Amino acid sequence: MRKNWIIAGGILLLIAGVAGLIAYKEFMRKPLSALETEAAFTLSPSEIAGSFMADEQKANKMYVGKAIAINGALSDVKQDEKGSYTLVFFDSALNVSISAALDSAQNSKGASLKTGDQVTVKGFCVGFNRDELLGSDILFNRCGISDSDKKP
Amino acid sequence: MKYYILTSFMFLSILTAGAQDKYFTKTGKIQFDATSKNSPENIIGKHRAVTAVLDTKTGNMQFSLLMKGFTFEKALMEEHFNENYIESEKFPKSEFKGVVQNNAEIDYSKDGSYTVKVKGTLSLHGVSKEVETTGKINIKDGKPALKATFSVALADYNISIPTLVADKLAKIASIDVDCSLEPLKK
Repeated sequence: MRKNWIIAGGILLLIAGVAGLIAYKEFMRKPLSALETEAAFTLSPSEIAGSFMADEQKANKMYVGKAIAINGALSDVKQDEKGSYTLVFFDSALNVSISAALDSAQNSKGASLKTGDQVTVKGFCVGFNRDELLGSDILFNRCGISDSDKKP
Repeated sequence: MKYYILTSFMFLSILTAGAQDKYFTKTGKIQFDATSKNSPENIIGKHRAVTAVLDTKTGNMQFSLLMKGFTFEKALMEEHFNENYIESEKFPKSEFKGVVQNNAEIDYSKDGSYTVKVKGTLSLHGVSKEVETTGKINIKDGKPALKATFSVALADYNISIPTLVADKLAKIASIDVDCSLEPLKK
């Protein structure tokens, strides 16, 4: 009888330990970089810009929160005072920018890029900011550069 | 002929002058800090894609950002922020429209640092409220940079904090604004 209680206690302790470990791992879980995630779509700047301009609601459902790869020529490479990079693609016909905030681990790759470079940037789509005065923006964060697609 | 050239030059100057009254950025930074005194971890969200516009002639300023653009150190924090507190699916954007109250005191053509009073309307989580704060406009090489720190009471914007995490999350969040502006070219 006593032996059964010991076994039961041991099993409960084991379950509690495993549950605690799972909870701790979940609590400490870091957000994924987009490079670690398979892209739901691979699109050109014009394709994604066209999607949002045609039907913003539909495009939000399709793209927001997902890892998307954008392949095109950079229109701008911006660096802030802390050394973080934002890569910009631009669709002049629709006056829409696609802004990709690079993950800090990718800063050294950002430093080697310049306007006109053909690159594939993968990031999580944050959303669409419509602005008639400044031009609309599609925003991406936690972005990384897919090396295999980078062309000089 | 001389009259035609002079008129064209004057017209061009007015157009150019008008365009340089406005400055903007799409890569402004805002930090949201809701860490309570008792919290064992920092509850800090950082945004690097804030749109900001300043009209130096009138002092009118406008900020807007997509709430999903805030990034946190931990995935669970970010998910709770978006799903439970800010409800970014329902309220995807936050905006501030305001005026620099002492704009006339600022010489935008000269490098310098100015303490400013800003008053305006902050829209967050579907609620719009009048806010007033002080900040700094730093002019360097003819370009303004906007910096400010102000507080936001989460309850004022119907952001409710579950009792379970009440000791971790501050009731009043600190907002840090840091936006370096470029001339808006038409």
